[in-house]
Amino acid sequence: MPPRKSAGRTKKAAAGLSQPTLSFSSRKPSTSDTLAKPLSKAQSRSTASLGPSASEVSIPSTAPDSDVEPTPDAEERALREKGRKDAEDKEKARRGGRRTLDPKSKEWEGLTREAKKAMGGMQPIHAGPDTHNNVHHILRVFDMTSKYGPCVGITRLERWERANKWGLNPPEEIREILTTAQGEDDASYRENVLSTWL
Amino acid sequence: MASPLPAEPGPAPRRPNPSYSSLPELSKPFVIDPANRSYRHQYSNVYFVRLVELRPIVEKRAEERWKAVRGKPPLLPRILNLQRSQLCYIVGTVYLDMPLKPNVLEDMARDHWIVPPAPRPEFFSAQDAVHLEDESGRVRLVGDVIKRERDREGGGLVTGLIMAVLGMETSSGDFEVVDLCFAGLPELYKAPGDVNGTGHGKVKGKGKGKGKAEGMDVDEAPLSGQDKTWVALVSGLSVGAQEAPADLKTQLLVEWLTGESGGPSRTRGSRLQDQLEGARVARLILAGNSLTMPVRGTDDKQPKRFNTSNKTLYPSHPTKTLSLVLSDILSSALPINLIPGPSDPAGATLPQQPLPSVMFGGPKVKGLECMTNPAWLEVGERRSEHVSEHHLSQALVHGKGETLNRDSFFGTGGQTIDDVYKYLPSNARLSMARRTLEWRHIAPTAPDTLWMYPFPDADPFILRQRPDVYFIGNQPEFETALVGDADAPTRIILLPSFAKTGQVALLCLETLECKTVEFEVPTWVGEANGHGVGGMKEEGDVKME
Repeated sequence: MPPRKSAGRTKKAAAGLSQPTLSFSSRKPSTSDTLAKPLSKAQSRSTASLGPSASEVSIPSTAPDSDVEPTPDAEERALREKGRKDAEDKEKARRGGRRTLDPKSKEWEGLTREAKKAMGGMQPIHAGPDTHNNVHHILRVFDMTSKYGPCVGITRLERWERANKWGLNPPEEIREILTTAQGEDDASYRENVLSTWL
Repeated sequence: MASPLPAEPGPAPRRPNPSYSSLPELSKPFVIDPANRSYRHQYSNVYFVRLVELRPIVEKRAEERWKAVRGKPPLLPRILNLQRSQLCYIVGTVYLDMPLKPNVLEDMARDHWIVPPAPRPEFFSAQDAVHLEDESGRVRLVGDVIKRERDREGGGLVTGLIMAVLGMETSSGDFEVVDLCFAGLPELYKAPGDVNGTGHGKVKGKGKGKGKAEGMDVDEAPLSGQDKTWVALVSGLSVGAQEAPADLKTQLLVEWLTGESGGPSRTRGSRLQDQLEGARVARLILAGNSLTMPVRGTDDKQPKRFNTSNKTLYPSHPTKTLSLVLSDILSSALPINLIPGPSDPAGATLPQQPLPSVMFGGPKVKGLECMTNPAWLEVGERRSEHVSEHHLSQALVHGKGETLNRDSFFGTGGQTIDDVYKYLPSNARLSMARRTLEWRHIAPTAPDTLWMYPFPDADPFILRQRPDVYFIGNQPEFETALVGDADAPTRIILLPSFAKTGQVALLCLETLECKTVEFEVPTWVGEANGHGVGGMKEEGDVKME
């Protein structure tokens, strides 16, 4: 179902609490579905509503051509197709296109574990289950790690490149996350967590 | 009856023409691309880069220095890992908490109630507190060692330098300091491709401080005056100032540099000694404050009536005057490097960008190099290492390449040392300049009290190598010293304002000796004995205490 973006936005705008809107890049991704999903998720996040639009927050398209929200059946299908999809993604990345970001992918598990350990098992503030998946958690901990420098004022990818230039060895997986399609288009992945405040 | 001058023996003097390089890989960090300029970055990036780059160096030096200490104090990776009563050492950035430092919040609060006091020239006080901080936190440093370091002549601490301290945490949470360590003098700058030959003469230990390099063996015969190549360093030309005699001094300087002035020499030797000396100058470096704000005459302030002429009291076209002066000098084949200073129209934040060359005639004017502030440059053709004893006093010199006779110069317009001066109780500016070399950072107080461009990912004021000559303009008086090892010395030169003192520093490229030439113009009013309107006196090598 399409997200209730218009309702949510006008309500918040009327209350004077609207957040800055996103500008979507005009770049065409290599497959059509990857555009639909990030748009819908991004818009729902821009309203910062913790309401029923939560169901859209999870995995991006599990099957390449489907536009259907993931249901429990779809998840099983997802698991079967995940192996195929990962291989496809890597192939796409090699060919120069952008891969899609799958927060439940096994690649990020090591980082997720470390991130949770770094936070001491606590949930970060203002991080509900619909706006904050494990990739957000990883990136948020990356922002707050003072070892890589101050996070304010630059995008996460720029910060990663800068930390790399200074020889601080930031984890390579974070760069992979940040150069995926969602990593570049979606502001909640691209910008640091303090970007709307500072 | 005037007799004609005897024929000049030998060929006409020609200016030496050493090679020149603006050292692009060292100068590039100071150039800010106008297209990519952005002032929205925070300064925490600059502090972080400074810590990341200088911390390994300081850690290494601290380890060497303190590895023999009883108790084997460890290096703590984070300041917040301090434990009570455990001897250890930590590395971080110094922060001085000074109540007299101009604080924008206090200024705003005061603005509402009383007239704010005039800005102080210095803001150190007895209530200053020294803290050490890194990415995790900060700790206050207490103890006699810190107090002594702050108060001693030639010492001092400023905000922004990277330091290692050995000590332990007290019961009140402060850190009692037993010893300090800085990054130390960096290596001399060697151009890529230089072969590092062995130094001549004996190496004298660390060479910092007041050591004289006695016992330097001189391999060759001392260079005669004919063979030495000099570089002239001037600061504070202050063209455009109200006082007329300043322009007269500038004219005298131009005449001396172009060889038009001078007469029979006072010393024995060939005639036209002054002319020959002016002819041996290979390059002129203007280190800051070449222009000043033109002072508006009182006539300008009156409302203009249409029957009075619009002439101002003092015709002030500083840039035109300066470009005339420079073209006079350039026409005698003397190349000029122009470094902006605090009063030049080159921007208020460091690093100041080069003055646009179109101000002085555009790209068709050859020989004029407009440089950033601070700036690196290199002038070539030095002979083999060769220093005579009595020229070596305390000079901080940036290193030179030994065997290929190239001297690297590094200079600023003076704002960096002026700002460090505000933090320290002493007046010893020469030792402040030496300390900036030891801290490996020429402007540690930027961006705290010294305005600086917010670089997002670099701190260009970190000194990774020493130059051969380190010159600083716009200081109150001429001072010079040598620092570094005896075979790898760096000469520090503090240049006074030419408009005030009339002094020009001359540096010999081959031997690193430094002397001054002073131009003076006696006052116009009531000159009873009627001697000439211009004068020149030379001083030999200045021995600094």
